[in-house]
Amino acid sequence: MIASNWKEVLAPQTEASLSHEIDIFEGQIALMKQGKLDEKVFAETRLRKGVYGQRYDNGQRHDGFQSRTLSFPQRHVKGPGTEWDAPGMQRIKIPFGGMTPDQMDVLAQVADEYAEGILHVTTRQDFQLHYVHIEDTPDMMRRLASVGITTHEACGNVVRNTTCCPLAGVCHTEAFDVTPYAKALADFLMGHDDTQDFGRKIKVAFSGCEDKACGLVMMHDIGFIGKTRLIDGVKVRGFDMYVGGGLGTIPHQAKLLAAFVPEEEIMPISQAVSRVFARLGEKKNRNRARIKFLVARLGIEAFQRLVQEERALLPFDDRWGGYLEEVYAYRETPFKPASPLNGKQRPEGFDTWYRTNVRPQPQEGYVVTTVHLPLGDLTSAQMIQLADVARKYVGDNVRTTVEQNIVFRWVAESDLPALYQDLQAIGLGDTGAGTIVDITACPGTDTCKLGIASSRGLARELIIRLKAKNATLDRAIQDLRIKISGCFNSCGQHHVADIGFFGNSRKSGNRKVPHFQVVLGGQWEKNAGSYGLAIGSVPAKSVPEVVDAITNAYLEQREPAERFQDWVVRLGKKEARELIRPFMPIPAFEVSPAFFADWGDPRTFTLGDLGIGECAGEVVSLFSMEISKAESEAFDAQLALEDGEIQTAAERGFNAMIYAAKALVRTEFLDVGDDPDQIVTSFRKRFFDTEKFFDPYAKGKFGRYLFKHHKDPVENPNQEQARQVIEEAQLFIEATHACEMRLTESIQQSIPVLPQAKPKRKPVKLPPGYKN
Amino acid sequence: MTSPQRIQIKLYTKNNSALSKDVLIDRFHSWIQHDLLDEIPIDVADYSHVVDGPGILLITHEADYAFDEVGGAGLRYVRKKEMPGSLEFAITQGFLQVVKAARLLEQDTAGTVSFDLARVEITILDRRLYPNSSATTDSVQPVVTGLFSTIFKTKQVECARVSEDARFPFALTIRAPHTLEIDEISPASVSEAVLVPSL
Repeated sequence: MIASNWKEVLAPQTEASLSHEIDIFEGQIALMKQGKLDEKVFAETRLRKGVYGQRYDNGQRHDGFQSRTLSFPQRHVKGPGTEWDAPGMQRIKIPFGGMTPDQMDVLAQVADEYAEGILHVTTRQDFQLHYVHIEDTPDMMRRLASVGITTHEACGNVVRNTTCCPLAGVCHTEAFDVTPYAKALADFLMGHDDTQDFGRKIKVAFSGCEDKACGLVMMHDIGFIGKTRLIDGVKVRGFDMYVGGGLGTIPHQAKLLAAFVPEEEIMPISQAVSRVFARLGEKKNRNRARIKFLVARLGIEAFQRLVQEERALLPFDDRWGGYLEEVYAYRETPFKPASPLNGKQRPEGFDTWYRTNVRPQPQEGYVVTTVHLPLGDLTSAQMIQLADVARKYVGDNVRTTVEQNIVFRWVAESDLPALYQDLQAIGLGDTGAGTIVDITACPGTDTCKLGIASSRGLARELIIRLKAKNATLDRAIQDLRIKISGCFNSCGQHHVADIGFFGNSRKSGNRKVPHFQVVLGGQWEKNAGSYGLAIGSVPAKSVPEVVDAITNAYLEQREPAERFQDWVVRLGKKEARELIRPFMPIPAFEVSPAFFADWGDPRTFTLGDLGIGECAGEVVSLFSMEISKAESEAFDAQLALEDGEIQTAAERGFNAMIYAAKALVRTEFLDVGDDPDQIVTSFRKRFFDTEKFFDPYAKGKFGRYLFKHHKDPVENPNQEQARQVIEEAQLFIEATHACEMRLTESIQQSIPVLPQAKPKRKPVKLPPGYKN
Repeated sequence: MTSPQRIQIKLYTKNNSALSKDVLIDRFHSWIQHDLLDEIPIDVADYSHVVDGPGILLITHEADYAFDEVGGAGLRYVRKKEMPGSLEFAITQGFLQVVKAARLLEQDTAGTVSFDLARVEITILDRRLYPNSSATTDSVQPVVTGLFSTIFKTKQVECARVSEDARFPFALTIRAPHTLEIDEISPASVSEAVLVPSL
């Protein structure tokens, strides 16, 4: 007899607490459909179950000619401005990236029954499924819960998936295996009373090494680096604990909260940090609601003191030290006995794959192999087949990575040729893991509501081009990393790439052109130890040539053994910009219409049907002249920073904001003059108070940068403060561009114009009985 | 038999002829722009980078259309919204939709691809109602054979289960004994197949 629903089928094998959570969520869906829940409350509720919005979920889409309403059948919403029937994204948490073949099977099955049959590995070791309907989510969650996977707190203002170095436990340079600590802390913080009242999310990471990329601790809200000390002759474990790191629009390096935190203190101190963040963190302005802003505002010393005080007040919880029993019992069991590779016949292509996708473990006879997933994607069928490959060679020793791949750990070396052939047979034998062809990209305009340019489209194109010549590339180029974000929010981690890009747009005449800002010299090593700086924006269609120009210059100019980051520093930003300058111009539309569309998307890159009007033309022309001064000033600020002229760098950063504000003010008030006070006053009155300047998502965030630096100029800044001024100036300039575009569009839309004609197409003749 | 939550039907091209991703993306956007679909269109997705992946998808609220090369080049229709009624109704309506889209693609690409309906693959994406088992095969296979005997107007229809691995969805491949052009299939007879006992 067939069970009537998945709940009934899976009840015996599902943990009661997980099942209960899903039942509650299903009930909330029903209430929302009846209009009995506040839409904002429901939105946060579903986010906390990993049920996320997706592009076009406001029911509007531009088809290349006009914006259209997507007339979904149901009229209610699942959050402010979010249509109920619009497909969304489901994020699935995989703590520390660890998963078993049985879990892989179920992940595959829900992907083909509720999504598009594609599983996407994220930069936080999660999985994401796209185009999911909200009413399918409870059954999907039940099926996942039946194998111990939860989506609880995968999104929302909570502690997100805890990440961990995918090599933890099988690494040559780690202090110890941090895996069981990551797992224990993830369990402890999920659903904890002290982690439910944040203004925004917290991201946690664990590393076992300081110098390697490992868990990328320095870009996390809370991060742990495992250390050991000899105390009374006994090697003792502890953690250097960091807080306040993050990428986003303004990247911050994490600060040391406490050195060598004892194992039994990582939970209570994380709890104390959560309490301080919940109490003092920003709640109203989401754009300043991460821990990094709180730490920056209070200063690390004050933050440390507050955490210490909070820690002292915490009621005792026996889980704080109780988990250590499990930690010390934690062992990964190799699936097969160790054996060397010697003498095994190597199939064609094996040696290249071995060089890029295989790492020796400290445990003799074992290696880690990386299954290189293009753009982090694999099909349901591949996932099932990969689960079988895992069962054959490594058992449960499988993890996702923040570079959007999957690793098999504890592979017996002698199995490598057969494993390689098995991976090839299922289309997952790609070489080049961790090299220039292994490009990280966020979803961008493919599915993300905030995407400005097509990060995945660009990544696809770069991968095709780079793969075609990869064999002939110098090793120094092959080993570079490219990371791409579709907007300034850094989900593609462009700040920590050798060559990073984030999407933006520019105008040419009255048309928009997709662009990418080039960010050079970010550091992946040392736990994402430093961030790259933007050197200029180029049209999206010029990016492949820009990559060639940069890599060729590096190859020609580098000193023996000089690393890319060091070469970028030596080159200097001025020269770096010169490298990309030839690619910055936008050709006329009539000459190269392809520049006015994004990669992989033939629609004209525009949000509205813009006509050509003199009024707008003049405005654009004047604005273009003015804004170029701001961009130039921001660039000079970067040069000053590079030359160690810290004070000058900060001053020029602020000047750049004033120039940009002036450019915008002059579109309405030509005689604003040069007095910064007058410019700021006019800007506030005309653009900020009226909310014209407000970004649809960031609201007035970027305008407040101007007011902050105008009101309280940074005095005697240190390098980081000056750098931040410059970063904020660049974002303010970007926002000014965006504002001007919006205003121009609204002017155009107020002028009656004939609708743009669609190109004529041949009528399609269908057989009798088929409707056209 | 109960209508499944999702059903997928794939038609294959003659001589395994395929289309470039640029052409497909362009055509699918064009279908949206010119309102050529019965469904509410949402977007075009590019999975051309995935080996044996879904290729290029035209995503709508009710269903997806995809041109992929898994097991041979062809057009795949995935009905995502449950159809009221029976399995037989879901299959015939899905078949009509994919044939219509295939016709559109033939005309829209000036004959670069053409379809041979003599091979059809039906996948039932509902492991609860239709687990990939011998029991499901025993109950569904005769029904599908009957439907396509009527649609193809021949008793010589072959119908075989694609995989016996229970983790994969239940799927059947249907083959007619000779090439079938789209024009040879009458929509009326497809709709009526639900009502007609197998030949």
